[in-house]
Amino acid sequence: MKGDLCLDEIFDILNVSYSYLPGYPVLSGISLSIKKGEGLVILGANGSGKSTLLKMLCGLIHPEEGKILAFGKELTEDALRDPKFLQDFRQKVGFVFQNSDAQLFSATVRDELAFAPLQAGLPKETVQKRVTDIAQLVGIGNLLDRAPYKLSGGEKKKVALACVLTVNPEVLFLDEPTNGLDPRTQFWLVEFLQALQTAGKTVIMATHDLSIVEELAQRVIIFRENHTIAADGAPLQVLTNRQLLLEVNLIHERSHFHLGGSRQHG
Amino acid sequence: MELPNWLSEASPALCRCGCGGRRKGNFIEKTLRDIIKIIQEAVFSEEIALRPGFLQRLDARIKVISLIYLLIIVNLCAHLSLLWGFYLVLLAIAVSSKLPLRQVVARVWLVIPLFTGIMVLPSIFNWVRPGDPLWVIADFHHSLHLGYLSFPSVLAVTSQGLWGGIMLISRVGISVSLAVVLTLSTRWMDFLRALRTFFVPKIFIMTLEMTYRYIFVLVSAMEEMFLARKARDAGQSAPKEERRFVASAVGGLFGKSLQMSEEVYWAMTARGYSGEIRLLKGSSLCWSDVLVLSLVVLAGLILIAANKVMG
Repeated sequence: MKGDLCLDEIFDILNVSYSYLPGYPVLSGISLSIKKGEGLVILGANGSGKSTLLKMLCGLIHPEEGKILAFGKELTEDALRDPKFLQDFRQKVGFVFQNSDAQLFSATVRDELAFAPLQAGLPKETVQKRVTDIAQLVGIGNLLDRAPYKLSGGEKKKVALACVLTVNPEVLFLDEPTNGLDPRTQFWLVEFLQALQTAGKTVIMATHDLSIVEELAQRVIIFRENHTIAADGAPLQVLTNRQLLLEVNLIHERSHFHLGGSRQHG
Repeated sequence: MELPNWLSEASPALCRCGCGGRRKGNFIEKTLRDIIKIIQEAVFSEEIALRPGFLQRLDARIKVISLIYLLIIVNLCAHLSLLWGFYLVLLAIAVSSKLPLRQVVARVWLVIPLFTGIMVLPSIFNWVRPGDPLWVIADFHHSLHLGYLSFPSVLAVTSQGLWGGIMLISRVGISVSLAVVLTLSTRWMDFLRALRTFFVPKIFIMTLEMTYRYIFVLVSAMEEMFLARKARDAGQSAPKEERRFVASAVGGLFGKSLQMSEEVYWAMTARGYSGEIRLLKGSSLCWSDVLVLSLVVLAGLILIAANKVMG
C-alpha cells in the first residue's frame, strides 16, 4: 500500500469505520486522502463523527475496520509502540482539543507550553526559547506563570494553541476551535491560522461553524448524520449547495447563510 | 411553531407584601456558599503569595529547607522563653512580608490547643505522670485500687505535667505556624516545584499538580450544577429531595471527572506523553537566597547554643 501513496499525501484513510458502543457507529466506511499544506475543514452536525475522525488521524483512537496511512506508514496501536515512530509522529501532528480545560493539564502556562517539546526530547535551552517565542507570538507572555484555571476562555484557547505549536507540528488538528470564543478572539484565531497556512502548515479542523470555513478552507468535507461523507470539494462548490447543507443539518430552511456574508471585513 | 396555551400565558404576579415570611437557608445554599468560599480562599491565598514581600521573594526551595531545619530546631528547644522568642521573630517576619497576621495566628491557636490539649490533658495529673503537686483536686485519704491498677490517694495537677503540656502545645503550635507561614507566602505550584529538587518522584509531583489543577475545574462544575438547581428552586423542595439532588450531583460529578480524565489522557498522549514525565528545570538560586539560608542556619545554631547554656 505504501507505494500507492502520492509524495504529497500525508494521510490516506481507507474505508475506516469506528463505534464507541457496539451497534452505534460514529464513522462508517470513510475513505479520503489529505495532502500536505492543505487547509481542510470537516463540517457536520453534532455527533456526525468529525471529532472522532480527527482523534483517529492523531493516533489517539484506532479504526475498527479499514486503515489509516500517516506519512506513508500504517497508523496502528502497534506502530505507535515503536518509540522512534511515536516521537516523530507526535512532533509532526498537534491537536487542539475542543475542551481547553482538558487540554491544559499542567500547573502553569509555562509548563503547559514546555510539555510537548520536552516529551519530544528537545534540549531544555531550546524548549525555553520556544516557550518564550510562542508566548510572545500568541500574546500570552504575561500569562506564563499563571495557573490555567485562572484564565478566561479566550486566553485558554490561545494557550491551548500555543502549547501545540511549541513542538512545531507539520499538521495541526483543531476540534471546534471557535466554540465559545468572543468575536475578537475568533477573528484573531482565524488570522493566526491563516498565517500558519501561509507558512506551509496543514490545518485540519472539525467544526459546524460555517462562518470560518470560507476564510480557512481550500477543501471542505461534509459529514452526513449517518456518519458517511456527503461531499468533498472546494468551499465554493460545497457551500453554495443549499440543498446539501439542509440535508446534512448544517443550516435550517430559514437560515440566511451565503458565502462572503458571514463576516464583516474591515 | 405552535406553542401550547399554557406556555403563552403570563406568569403569576409577584407578591410584594412579604406575607410568605422568611425561609431558612437550606443546606444546598450552604453547600453552594462553601463551594464559592473554597475558590475564593484559594484565589486569596494565591494573592497573598504574590504580594511583594521578603518571604514571597525567597526561592521556594530555600523556604522548604529552612522549614525542615527550623522544625528540628524548634522541637529540640526545651525552654519556653526561647520558643516564644522565636515565635515572635517569626510573626515579625510574617507581618513585614504582608502576610495577614490574623490568619497566621488564628489558623493555629484556635485549633492546636484544643486537639493537642485533649491529648496532653491526662498527662498533667499525678495519676498518669507522677510529679510535684501544683493544685490538689481531690484527697481520698487512701490509695485507690482498680483491678491491677493502684492510684495515689491524692489527685493533683503536677507542675511537671503542666509545664510538659504547655511545652508540647507550644512546640506543636509553633511548628504548625512555620508551615502556615510557608504555605501562605509560597504559591502551591512553586512549593511543588521545590519538592522536585528533593528527590520526590516526578510522577508524584505531576499527579499532585494535576489534582490541584482539576479540583478547580470540578469545583466550578459542581458550582454550576448547584446554581442551575438554585435557579429553578421555588422553595418547595423537601429535604429528602434535596439530599437526593446532592447524591445525584456527586454521581454526575464522578461521571464528568471520569470523562475529563479520558480527555486529559488523550491531550497528554497527543503531545507525546508515553509514560515518562520530563519537566523544565527550576531557576537557579541567587546570592540573597543563599544568604538567607545561611542566616537561618546561624539562627538555629544560636537557639541550640542558648538552649544548652540555659540548661
